[in-house]
Amino acid sequence: MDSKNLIMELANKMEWTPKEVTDMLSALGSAIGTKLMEGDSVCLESFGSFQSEKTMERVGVHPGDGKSYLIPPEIVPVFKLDEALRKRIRSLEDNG
Amino acid sequence: MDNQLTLLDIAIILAEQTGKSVPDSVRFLQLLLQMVADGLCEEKHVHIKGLGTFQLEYNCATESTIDDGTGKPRHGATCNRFVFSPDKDLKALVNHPFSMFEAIEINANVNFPDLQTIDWLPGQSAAEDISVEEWASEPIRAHKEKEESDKMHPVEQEETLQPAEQPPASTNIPTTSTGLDADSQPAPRRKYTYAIFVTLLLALGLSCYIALRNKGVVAFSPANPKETIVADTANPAVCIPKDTLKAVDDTLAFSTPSSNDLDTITIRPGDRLTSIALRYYGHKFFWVYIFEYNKEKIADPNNVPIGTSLRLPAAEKYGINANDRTSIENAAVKQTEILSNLKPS
Repeated sequence: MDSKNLIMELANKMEWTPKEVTDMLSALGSAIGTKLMEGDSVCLESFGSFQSEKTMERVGVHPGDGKSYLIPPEIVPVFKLDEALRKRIRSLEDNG
Repeated sequence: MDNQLTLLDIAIILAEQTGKSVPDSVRFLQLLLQMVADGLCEEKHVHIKGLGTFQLEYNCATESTIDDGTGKPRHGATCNRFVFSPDKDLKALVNHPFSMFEAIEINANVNFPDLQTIDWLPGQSAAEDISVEEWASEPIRAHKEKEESDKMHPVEQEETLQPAEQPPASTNIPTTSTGLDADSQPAPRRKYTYAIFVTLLLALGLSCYIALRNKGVVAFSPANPKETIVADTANPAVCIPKDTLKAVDDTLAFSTPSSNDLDTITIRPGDRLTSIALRYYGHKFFWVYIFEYNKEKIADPNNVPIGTSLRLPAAEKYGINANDRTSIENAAVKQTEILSNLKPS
């Protein structure tokens, strides 16, 4: 499901305009991003949790020319599946 | 920082930013998450603009070593994978505190031995390989399936684990019990040894006590053997003063009075019944019992002929006790009677 179809379906079910849904999704990304930047985590029950992790600086080697780069540390967003959704996903294998 | 926000917290933030009501924001989020979960399961791929892409991949090639329960690694096995790829905007927003840092090219002769070295393309982010969850697919699935079913049925897993855990516990019990036995074995021995040691100490102490007591008995006896003989023949209940013993004539000391008599004496010049009573019984009032006991021989207690043989009664016969005031008072009363009954000569 791509983003466009998702927006349309949400607009129909919420009886909102697509713009309202888009604005809401944009606000959602901004809210989660801001909280992760601040070091907080977002736990969405029966879905998963968004967290932030810090990666240490590393040496990256270009596989083409072999040049080495010093990659700076980063704070990256991380998503972890909720147990209920994980079971549901893995149960898909059993059923087909 | 380090706060865990819930769906309601996010809904409140959305309501503030968009002007929607909190209940609408909550409903929106719930609907969104439901649709994403359904889309992920059905289409294996959901993209939320501004957030990221949720994707399922099946039968992916993996370099991870997944064994089939034999402990042997199986390279080249396939797996199923869940991947979350954050959107560019989300990555930039989250990394904003470190946004001023950029990757810099380093010379080939510069080494950073403490840093991890990876294959890297400019613009590539570390976030791409973090939100990945893999699990084994067929044919290793037969082994993993048990783990998955165990995870899906934790109660059963616990039940199966409990019996499995019991044997180790039971096996531990013997070891601990043997340990206890091992520890208990020396304990009775120590107790037994301790008991023997205490018994020996007690026996030694008792023997020492007996020896000392015997020595004490010997030490308490008078040094004069004659006095000893007199002490042996005399009534042991009678406390014979030493002076009395010394005043006894040697011939008298070896006399053999009757079994109930304390002694037998012969009146000599200067002897009085009171002096004899004082000598033998510790108080002069007890002459009355000497008079009583030798009544047939003594007509006048104030005038006893020289050479008269008198038997001295045992102290128990008349309750003679110089330390007992009652005994002395009784003797005094008897003295009054005797003296009042005397006929004037």
